[in-house]
Amino acid sequence: MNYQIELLSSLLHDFIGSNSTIMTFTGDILAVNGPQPDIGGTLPVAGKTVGQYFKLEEGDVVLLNDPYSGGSTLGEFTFVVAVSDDLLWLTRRSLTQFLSFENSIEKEGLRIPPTPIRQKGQVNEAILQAMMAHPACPSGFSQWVQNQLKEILNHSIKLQKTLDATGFSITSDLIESYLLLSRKAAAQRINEGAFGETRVDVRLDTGELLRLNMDIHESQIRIDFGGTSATQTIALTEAATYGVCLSTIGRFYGFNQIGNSGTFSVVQVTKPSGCWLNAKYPAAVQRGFHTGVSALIRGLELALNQIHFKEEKSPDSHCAVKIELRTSQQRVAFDLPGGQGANSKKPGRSARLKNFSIEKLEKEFPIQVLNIESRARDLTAKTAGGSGIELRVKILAPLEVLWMTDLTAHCSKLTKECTAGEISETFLFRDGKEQNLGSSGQKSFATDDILVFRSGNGGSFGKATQVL
Amino acid sequence: MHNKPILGLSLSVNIGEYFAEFALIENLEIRSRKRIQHSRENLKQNLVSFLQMQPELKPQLAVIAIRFSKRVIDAQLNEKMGHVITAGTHQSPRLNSQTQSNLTHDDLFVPLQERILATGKVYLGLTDEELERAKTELQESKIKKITLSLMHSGRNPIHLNKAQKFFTSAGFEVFVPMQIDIQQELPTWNRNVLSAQIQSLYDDRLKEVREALQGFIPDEQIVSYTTGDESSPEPQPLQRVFSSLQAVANSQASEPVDVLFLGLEKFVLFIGGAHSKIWKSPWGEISFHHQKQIELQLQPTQCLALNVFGRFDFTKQEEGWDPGPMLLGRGQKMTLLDLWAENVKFKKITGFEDRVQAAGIQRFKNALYALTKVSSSPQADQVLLLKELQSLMLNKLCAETQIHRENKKLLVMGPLASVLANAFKKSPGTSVDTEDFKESFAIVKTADQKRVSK
Repeated sequence: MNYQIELLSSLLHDFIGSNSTIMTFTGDILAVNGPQPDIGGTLPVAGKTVGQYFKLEEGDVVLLNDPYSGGSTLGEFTFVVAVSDDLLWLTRRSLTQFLSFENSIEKEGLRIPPTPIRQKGQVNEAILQAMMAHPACPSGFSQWVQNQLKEILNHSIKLQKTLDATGFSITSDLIESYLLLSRKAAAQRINEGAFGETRVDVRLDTGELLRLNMDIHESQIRIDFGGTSATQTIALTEAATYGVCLSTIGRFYGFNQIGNSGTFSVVQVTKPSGCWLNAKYPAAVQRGFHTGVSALIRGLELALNQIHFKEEKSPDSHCAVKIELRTSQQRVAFDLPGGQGANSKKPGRSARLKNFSIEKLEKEFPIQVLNIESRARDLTAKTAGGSGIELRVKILAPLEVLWMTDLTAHCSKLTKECTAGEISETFLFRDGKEQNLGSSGQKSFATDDILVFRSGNGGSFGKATQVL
Repeated sequence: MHNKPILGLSLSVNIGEYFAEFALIENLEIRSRKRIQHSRENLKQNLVSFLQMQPELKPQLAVIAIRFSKRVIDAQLNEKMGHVITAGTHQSPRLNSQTQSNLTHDDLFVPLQERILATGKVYLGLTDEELERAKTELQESKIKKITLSLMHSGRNPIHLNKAQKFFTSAGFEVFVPMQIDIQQELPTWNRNVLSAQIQSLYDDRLKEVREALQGFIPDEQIVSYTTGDESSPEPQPLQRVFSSLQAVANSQASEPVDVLFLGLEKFVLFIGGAHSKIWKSPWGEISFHHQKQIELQLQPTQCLALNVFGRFDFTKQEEGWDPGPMLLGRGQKMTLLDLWAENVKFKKITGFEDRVQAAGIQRFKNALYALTKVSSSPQADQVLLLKELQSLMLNKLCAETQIHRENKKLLVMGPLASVLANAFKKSPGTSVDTEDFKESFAIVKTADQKRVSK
C-alpha cells in the first residue's frame, strides 16, 4: 500500500491518548499529543533516561515524576511502557494538583526518579510500599498506581493487536520516511511565512527576566535565551523549556498535529546554563511549570508576531489564576483561565472553566460563591479580546487560600494596532475596605471576608470605527 | 395494549438526521422495507405510500424512533426559551461549555434573586416581587417556555417549588431538573435544558408520523421508542437523542460484545458492558446514563483531500448528506463513500439502488485526477489509486476500531457492513452481520420487551 505513512500517523494518534508520546528505543519521537505544552520536551527526556538506565522488555513499566528526569510537577506521574521490542509509550497522568511556594523540590513532595514499577509481569509491591512510607506520599497512591497500571497495560497491548489485525508493520524504513516527510512539511510551512529576527524581553512579577532572541531563516527557527536571568523564585527544567518552544511554534505554524522528531528538528533552542529556563536540582519547579511556562509562551508568541507582523495578533492572557482552598481535612485547587487575544479578523475567545461546580465547592468548603462571570472588557476596539473570568466568594468560616498568577507587571511592546488586555487581579474586601493581594500569596481569611479573583482579558485589536 | 411479545406484524419507523427507514417486520423477519432521504423527500408522503403499496400487510403495532444530531439540535436552539437561574451563577453554564455551542443564548438567562446555601439554609428568600419582576422580563421578551436552575434546590427545594408553581400558574411551560446527580449542578441543569429544547422538535416530528399512520394503525398501537436512562421515571425527549443506535447495542445484551455500527450517517462503536452516567455532549456535561459509545474519527461522509504532506488523506471535515457525496450527483466535495460508488454491494443498499449517478461518479474521478496532479505522490493509474485509497480507508477503520474495542468479541453491522466487511477479515473475535435494517429490528424488539415487562 502506498499510503502507509497516513496509516502510521493516524494509528499512532488513535493510540497514544492525551499527554503522551510514542518513541523508538533509539530516541526517535513518532507522535506527541498534548494538551500540556511541555510534553514534547519532557517525555522524550524521560524516555531517553529510562532507555539509558533500564533494559525494558515488552510489558515492563517504569514510573517517574522527577522533573529532572523528564517529569513535570510532582503531582503528575509519567509511566514509561515498553509496548513492543522497539517502541516506548510514555503517558502522563495527574494525581494531585496543588500549589506550592517552596524553594526546594524536596519540600514540594515525593520525588520519584525513574523506577521500574512492573517487570516480567509483576508489579513491584516492595517499591510501592516504600513510596507509600514517605511522609509526602499522596494518600491512596498505591491503589491509584495499581489502577493506572491496569488501564495502561490493557491499552498498551492494543497496539500490537491492531498491527496484527491490519497486517501493518512499523518498519525502520517507514519511520525514516515519515520523519523525513514531517521535516519537509514543517520546513515548508516556515518557508511560506515571514523571515527575520527579533528580540523580546518578558519580566516576571518575581523579578526574573526572560530574554528571547528569535531568528527565522532558511526553514529553521533558532531561539537563543542568552541574557535570561538566573532563578530567583521561578525555575523551569531544560526539557520543559524545549517542549514549550516546540508546542508554541508547532501551534503557530499549524504542524502541531504532526509533532515528531522530524518537525522538531526545524527548531533549535539555546539556553545558557544558570538561567531560570535551565533549572538544576534541587530548585523547586511548581511555580515554573505554571507562571514560567506562561511567560515563555508569551515571549515566544510576541517574537513570532513581531516577525509575522502582517498577521499580528494581540496577546493572550496565558497565565491562569490558580486558586487552592485548604481546610484541616481537605484541599482543592482549580484554575481561572484568561481570555485570548484578538486579531484583525476575529475577536479573542473568552475563557472557559473545566467542570467547575459551585454546589460541590460550597458543600466541601465554607464559602459562598457570590458571583462568577466573564470579566468586563474593552468593547470599543475593532475586534475585542476574549474575556477572563471574575470569581467573587464570601468566606463563611476561617479558611486558608493560596493563589498564584504572574505577568501582572510585565508590559509587552506591541504594534500600534494591538493592545494588551487587563491583567489578573486579586482583591480582599474586609470591613468595607479594599486591599490588593498581589499576584501570588497564601493567607488565612476570616468569616465574612470577600475575595475577588480576576483572570486576565485577551488583548483587543484596532480602534473602533465610528459610525455617524 | 396487549402484553404478549410481538409475533404479529409490526411497523418500524426509524428517523435519523438525513435518512428514514420504514420496515414491516413479522416474526423478526422483514416483509417489506424502504429507505428515504427525508432531508430531501417528504417523510409523511413516503410513509403513506409505503403502507399503501402493500395493502395486504396490516401492522398491529408501530414503533417510532427519532434520533437527533448536534446539527439538528443546534438549529433548534434558536427557539426562544428562558433560563431562570440563581443570580450570580447565571453565567456558569456558558463558562463551563467547552465549545462555542451553548444551550441557552446569553440574552435568555433571567437571573433570579434568591439563594440557598449548601447546608440547605435560606440565605436570600425568594420574594413574590422578585418572581413578578422575572415574569415581566420574560413576558417582555415574549418567552413562553422556561427552565428553572436554582442553587442547592436538591438540598432544599422550597424556592424551586415556589417558582415552578408561580410560573406554571402564570401560563409558562416550565421544565424543572430531576435531581439525579446532587453533587454537581451543571450536568443536571444541562439535561433539563436540552430536554426542554428538543421537546417541541420531537413532538412535531412525532405528530407528522402519527398523522401519516392515521387509517393504517390505531393511535393507541403507536409507541415511541426510548432508550438508555432508566433513572428517570418518565422518558424525557433527551432519551431520543441516543435512540435507535443504542437499541442496536442493547440488543446484544446476552454477553459483553462490542458493536461497530457502520451506518450511512455515522460509524459508531458501542462498548459492551460499559456504561457512563455523564454524557460529554457538545454543549457540556449532561447527566444521562447510557452505554459507552465512541464516534469514530473516520465517518461515511468524511472529506478526502491532500494532507500536510501533500498526499491523499481523510480530513476532519464531515460533509453530511446535504448535498452529500459526489456519487449522488449533487455533492461538490470528495468523500469517503465516493471511493465505493462503483462497488456492487454499495449499489444494492436499500435506497441507493437507483440513486447513484454515473455523472456524479465521473465528476468524482475527475476531481481525484485533478488533485493527483498537484499531490506529492502522483499516481497515473486511476484504478490503482482508487484501490490504494480504499485500502487506506479499510485499514484506518480496522485500526481505530481495534484501538478502542474493549471486549473479546466484536460484531460489525449496519447498512455499510457488507461493503466494508473486508476491513475486519484478520480481526480476531470479529463477526460481520451484513443484514440491513438492524436498527429497525432492534427498536421493535426492545419496544416489545418493554411492553412485556410492563
